[in-house]
Amino acid sequence: MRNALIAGFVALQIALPLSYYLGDDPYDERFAWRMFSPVRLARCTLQAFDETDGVRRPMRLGEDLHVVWINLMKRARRQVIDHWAFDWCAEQRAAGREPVLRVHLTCASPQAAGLGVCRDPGDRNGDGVPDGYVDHPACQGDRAACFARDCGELDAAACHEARCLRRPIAPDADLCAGGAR
Amino acid sequence: MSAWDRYWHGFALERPRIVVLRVLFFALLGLDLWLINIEHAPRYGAGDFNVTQIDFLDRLVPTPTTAVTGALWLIGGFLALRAAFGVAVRQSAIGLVVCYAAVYFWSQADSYQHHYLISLLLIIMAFVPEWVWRGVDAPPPPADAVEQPDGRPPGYRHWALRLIYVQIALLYFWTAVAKVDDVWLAGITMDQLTTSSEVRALMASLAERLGTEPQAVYPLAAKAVMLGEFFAAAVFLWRPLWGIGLLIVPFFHVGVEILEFDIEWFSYYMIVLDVVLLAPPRLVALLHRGGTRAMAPLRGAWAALTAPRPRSSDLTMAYAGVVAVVAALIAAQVPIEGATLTATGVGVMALLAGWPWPRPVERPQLRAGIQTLCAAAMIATLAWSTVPYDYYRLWGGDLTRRGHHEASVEMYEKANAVAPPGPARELKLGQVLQKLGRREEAIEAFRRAVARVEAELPAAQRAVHQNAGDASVRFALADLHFELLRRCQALARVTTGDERAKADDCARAARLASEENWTRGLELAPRDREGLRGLNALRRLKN
Repeated sequence: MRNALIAGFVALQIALPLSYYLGDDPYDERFAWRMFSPVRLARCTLQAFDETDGVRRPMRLGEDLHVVWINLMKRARRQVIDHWAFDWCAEQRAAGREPVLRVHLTCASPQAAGLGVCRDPGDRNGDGVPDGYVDHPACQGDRAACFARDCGELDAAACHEARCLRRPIAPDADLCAGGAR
Repeated sequence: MSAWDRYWHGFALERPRIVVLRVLFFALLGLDLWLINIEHAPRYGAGDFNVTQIDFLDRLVPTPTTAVTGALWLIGGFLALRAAFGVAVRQSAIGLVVCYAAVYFWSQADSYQHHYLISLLLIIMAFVPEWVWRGVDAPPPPADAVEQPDGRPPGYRHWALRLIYVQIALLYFWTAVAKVDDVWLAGITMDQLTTSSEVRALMASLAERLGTEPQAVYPLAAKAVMLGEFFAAAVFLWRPLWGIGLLIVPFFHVGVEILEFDIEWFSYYMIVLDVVLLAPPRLVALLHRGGTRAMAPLRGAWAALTAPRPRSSDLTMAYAGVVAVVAALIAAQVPIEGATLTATGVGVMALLAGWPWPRPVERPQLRAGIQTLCAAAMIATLAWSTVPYDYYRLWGGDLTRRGHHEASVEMYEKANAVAPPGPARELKLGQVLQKLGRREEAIEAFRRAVARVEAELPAAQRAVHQNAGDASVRFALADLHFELLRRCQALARVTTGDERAKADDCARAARLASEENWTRGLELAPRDREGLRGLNALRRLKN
């Protein structure tokens, strides 16, 4: 019995962190012992919209939620977003409405800090290379070569969109119609 | 014996190391619960919203509340402190699984990873038998669980002790794996994390000593941290590495503190665990002897307290009942919500610790004394700290943000009643009262707000005169004048006549004094971020 307990505990402490690396949610680092990770510093912007009756109304989450939950939502904690959406949608249905809820969640990709195009995609000095590569720690050599390495054939704007940003929730998804749990 | 059995069931720790671990870990936990955790209790159940750490729990458990969470942490602190003193250690560890670990998994409002680590360690420790901890009235160890090396203290064998080491090894291993990442290894994350000018200057001087550019230090440091963490994992898995591990591993956490990362007491826990678990037996014995010698002046009283006094079961139960009532009455004085629940929990746990089952209680007077002391320590800790003030002001802030103004007035009033000297929350209270249309009360609150800040100015001015070259005291004075400016402005907006004129004069003078002191401070420390932020905030504040 003791040996089963030991084996089970150790197996869990191997499986849980491993599940992070094998999973598809880079932002939920719980139980993976990822202290001071680049992901933790990745910022997200969050906007929620009540689009019931076809009218888009921005929602002020702070009116209902403690700031700790809003901060977790801004860290792309999908469980928290889904739970809040479920509760809100249920409340709206109980009031006789047919709610439509959309959430715009835009996060820096976990690798964004390592890409100069993510730091600054603009080209104010006109050299054809995004200004974010100037003095970038991950670009020691030729800046144009770094840009080509990071973006291939894409221009700065397209590369920024493709490599620097993640949208964990599709902007047009209705969280009241299956987007929530 | 198989390799598995040798590794897990043949592992022994010396008795002094176990005792030092018990004292330091549980004492730190108790103080952490009372001094740090309590102020976070108002998050729990705010807005009647909660998400548990594990999906299926959402369907099974109710939403936590501030009072219940605070009470569980207070009771947990009582259990931790009495465990440090050796009373009912295993019972306390099991109680802490409820008071600490269960609260952690109950809500994602707690996102500190070290709370997860402590939860796991407490779950492991709940399996450690009483005889291992060598506490009060601990039964003798089984003969086959004791190692008796010549001339050295006995060692106790138990698989849970090994599991503590393995858990810490896994923590270091996985945190090292997280750093096998281009962004980390390029030093970018470390660069982003070091924001204070003093720390950046430290990194620059380190670069100079290494003969490299300042920016090159970050990748070097990042790689060193990754490799060091892999090494730390090996250290905790293999005993021969403990000695060298002690020279390296704790300094990661010292470094984290120097870099001023906001991770509450994580570093202190790790330093305690690293030093106690890795130290050579002689150093541990020294720590153990030091603690024992510290008690020497009380030896006479200690002998009386610790002398076994076996009594009949009935008398022991009555004794336990009295202690439970006394501890509960003391605990009922907690100055935050949930006092009744706290008192009940403390009383029940004190009763269980004194109960003459399943083992006889030979030192009821010692258990009674320690538990009474722990209950008193809880009240004293809260009374002598700013915890009750922080608890109520954070609660008031959340209620204000969510538009529950009447409730926030109540919380701000409670905060102000226990506030330490300084600005407190009179300005916030006044602003909320104004929103509620309670004008006269708002004016009174603004008057108190002005008075509180004015009372602090003489000491701050003296500090500047005594430390003319110290930018930080200039900034402190500048900030105080800024707070006075805001309060005088608030008062001016709601008053008329002479009082309004006086408030306007106060605001003008405070603005000038604040600007002067921010500027003088920045002359002493030109790139100080606090100074620059303060001056910008002042300039943004409208008249």
